[in-house]
Amino acid sequence: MSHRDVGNNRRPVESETIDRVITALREPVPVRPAWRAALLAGIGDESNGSSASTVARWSFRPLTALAAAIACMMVGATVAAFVLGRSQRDQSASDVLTNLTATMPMPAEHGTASVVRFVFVAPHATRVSLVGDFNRWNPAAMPMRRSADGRAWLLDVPLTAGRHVYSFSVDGDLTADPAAPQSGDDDFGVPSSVVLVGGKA
Amino acid sequence: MSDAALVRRVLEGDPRAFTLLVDRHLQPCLRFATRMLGNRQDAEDVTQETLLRAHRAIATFDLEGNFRTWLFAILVNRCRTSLLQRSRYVRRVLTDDNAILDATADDQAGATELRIEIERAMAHLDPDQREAFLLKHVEQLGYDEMAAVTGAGVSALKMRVKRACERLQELLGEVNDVAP
Repeated sequence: MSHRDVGNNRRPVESETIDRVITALREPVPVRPAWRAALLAGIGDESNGSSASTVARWSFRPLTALAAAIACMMVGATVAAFVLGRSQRDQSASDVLTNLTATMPMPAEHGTASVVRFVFVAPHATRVSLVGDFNRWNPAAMPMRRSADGRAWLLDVPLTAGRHVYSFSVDGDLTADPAAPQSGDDDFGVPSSVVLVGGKA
Repeated sequence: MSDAALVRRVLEGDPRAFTLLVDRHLQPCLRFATRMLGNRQDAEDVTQETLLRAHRAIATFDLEGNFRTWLFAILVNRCRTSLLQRSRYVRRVLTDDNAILDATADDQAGATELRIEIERAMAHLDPDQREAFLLKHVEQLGYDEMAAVTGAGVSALKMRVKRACERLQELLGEVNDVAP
């Protein structure tokens, strides 16, 4: 080990003592999730440049955004028929829904922002939250509620017009929304999806 | 993706990039602060302050430099300030025994006792020696990195590490003689 370079003349038993000390001290100190969340929230509160940068990124990728918008509209229109009218649908529609892992978020105009309903079908999950650029990827900020039938997780979020990147945190693991377009600019290895909210976008 | 690339993304305004930097360095920072200060609450405060300061000053980071070195320089300074601001360090280390016991409740009694003795021995080191020992052997920084982090010369740092090892052997030798 590297510490031996300062104690070559040490007796072996003494090196073993230092070895034990180093081994014990190298053990990870558990990070409390609530503390981490508060830390990230504090950093986010100090950050004032995120919206401007989002606009800048948007302007650099018009074709990607246009393709995502078209994909959103096509997938969203299809899935919305299942989601919004689910209670009045026949059994075949329910069967299709059963095969979906998640549903495309559907924006609804609400003043200057649009309320977007995020739905993620995960009947066996114990904890699901929504993370994205709108909450600084903080898994504690937007916990989703379980649907009445226990199969899906729901959350309505007011979002400003524009392009938003998001994921679902499912029992601590990040999962992209399989029913939505994947984020084309994701180079962090984090699975994420895109939702476009109307207005200036 | 490298730290420097993530810093570039932060500078471009991507908040997710700093979150990834935090997750990459949070554990080593918290570990160093906990071992250095001997108190979990103080360690969390210092680590939080370090990362907030890093975020505020991210534009000053030299993209050709080493982000870990830059971050640890802030952390080491915050730890030094924290130690200067309190005079009851030894008592707080001793009162933290309960936390150590809680964290290792499922361990064997002998292992727990050893850990407590190690924490106590670390608390008896001079702060400069403890700092150098932790940077070298726990966080595994090179001496050049340590010099950049601490502002001390390489020779002085080697001497501090050597004396820390000798002092730890003295302090723990008695325990080893008693413990089976």
